Amino acid sequence: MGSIIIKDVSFSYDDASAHARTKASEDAEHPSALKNISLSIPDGQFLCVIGHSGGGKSTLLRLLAGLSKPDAGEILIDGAPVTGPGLDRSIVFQNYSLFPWMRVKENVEFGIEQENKELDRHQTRTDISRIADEYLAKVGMADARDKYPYQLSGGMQQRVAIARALAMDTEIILFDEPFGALDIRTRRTLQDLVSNLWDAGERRKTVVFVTHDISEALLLADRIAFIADGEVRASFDVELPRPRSMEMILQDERAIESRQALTALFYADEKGRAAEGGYAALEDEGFPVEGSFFWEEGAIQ
Amino acid sequence: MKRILNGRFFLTQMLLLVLVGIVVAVPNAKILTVTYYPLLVALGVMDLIYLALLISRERRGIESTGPNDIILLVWVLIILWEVASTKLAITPNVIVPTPEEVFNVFYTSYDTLIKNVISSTTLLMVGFAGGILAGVILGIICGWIPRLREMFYPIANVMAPIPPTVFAPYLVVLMPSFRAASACIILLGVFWPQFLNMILRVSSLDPELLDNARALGVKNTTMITRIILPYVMPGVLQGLRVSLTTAFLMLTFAEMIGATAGIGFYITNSNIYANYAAVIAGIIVCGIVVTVLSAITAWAQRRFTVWR
Repeated sequence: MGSIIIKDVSFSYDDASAHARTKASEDAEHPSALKNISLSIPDGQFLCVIGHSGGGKSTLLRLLAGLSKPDAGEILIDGAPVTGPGLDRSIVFQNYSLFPWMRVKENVEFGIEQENKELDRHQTRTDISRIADEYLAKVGMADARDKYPYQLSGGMQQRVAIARALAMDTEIILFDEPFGALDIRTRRTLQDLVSNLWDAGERRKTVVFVTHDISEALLLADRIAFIADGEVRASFDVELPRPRSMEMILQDERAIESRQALTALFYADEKGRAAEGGYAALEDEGFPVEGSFFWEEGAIQ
Repeated sequence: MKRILNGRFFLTQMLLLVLVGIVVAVPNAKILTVTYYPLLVALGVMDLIYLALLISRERRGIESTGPNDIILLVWVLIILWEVASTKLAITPNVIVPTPEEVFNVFYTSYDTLIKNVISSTTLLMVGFAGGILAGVILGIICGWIPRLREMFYPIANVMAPIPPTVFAPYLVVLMPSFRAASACIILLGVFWPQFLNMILRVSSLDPELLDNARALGVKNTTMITRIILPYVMPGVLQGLRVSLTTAFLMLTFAEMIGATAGIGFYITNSNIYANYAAVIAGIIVCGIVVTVLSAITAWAQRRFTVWR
């Protein structure tokens, strides 16, 4: 329950979807298309998708969310193709994660209500209220339940957004650079929060987490997929023991190695773009550039 | 309380005392057929409103010289008016009524005034509510559906700036009654700007907010009631304040042309009989109605946009 299979998915923006483009490529000049992406995410895996701005990672998340439809290929969740937004998935966005006219608790309750509507589940108002309170407490926002989003800091708003996603109790949670707009201290706290909450549940949920922060990916992920120019360039398992901490990511030898490998990948990609000959030039430097490559099992240990 | 009882406050109260003293004690040069009691009551009411304003500002911690300066100006103007008309009689006898005569109108014909205000405001509410409702509903629909938006947005752009009063003569002929015509003029005057405003607001709805809603599986009615309506509400209320007062002024203007009831009619009718005291009283009533209407909309605006 909660496995995702992405099969040969291609996507390009046309003028009709210019509306959607504003989001996916807000910090990039060119709309990010996807070319023949294939990924398989088993149930309960924490996958981090990293890459440059405009590389297509947010586009991939939009497709997973069902907010856009692929031009070719298909996305299967538990074997069923994704046809639109569905409540087997919840999302935490970078901005506007909450509705500004609803109080904190109303935002969380609204998510639960929508979930119930979809699943034809009947819960009383008191049940919904209790669940909302429970998850607000889990993210440490119980005291702010009657506030409006504008009265909260960016970090607090994201806490509430996380509470809403968790309270909806979906099989899959998607994160679209949720901490991209936060300062580094807040980001650290929220990374720990996400990591702990994901680890603490009775059953781990499937998570797809888009970020451009390498350390963040190493801290959180079971597996990291590097996307550039609409292709999966690399994908490998992170075999660091849990629970992890940022100190560990910054000091542990294996982590440092992984980080260097990832940084090299970022750097190689930049170089590749700079070089007229594209990726062909990189082969000389020993970078495997044909399609996607995988780390050997145990290479990062 | 200490901040209220300052020098400026005592100055206003002194000036009021002077005014009352002039009204009561100084002999009149003009022979009045009315008493000065309604004027004194009106002065008292004004002073109470001023005090209430001061206290509410003190409570909210707002420091402002506004109320003091306004009431000072009012007292000075009334003193000048009183002295020039009643006490010295240097103003033209018929054309400039005395303060005593004007405020006496409120006492002698308050029932007529109230009847006319009610007539005007019901007409206003019908036209206004119709215009706002139609503007909001159709505006949301046309803003939401791209094809309709592309069709109606240019049309609204042409129609909105046309002053609805230009339709007035023809509408009076077209409509079965004068009241229906008036309501129609107000409706038109309110509808187009509201419609245009809604199209703009709905089509500028933040795509991220929309994605957020769609990702939660929000559809159709929920989309309108829980997402779009709350989103456009501040815009509606903001426009409400301006359009409500313009609608009222449009109405009084319309009533001046050919109605048989309403505050506009009252003013024109009094004018025909050269009852200028009643004309001024009517104008004051218009001012009061507009102030009350805009106070109500301001309250609604605060009440429904707490989230910003």
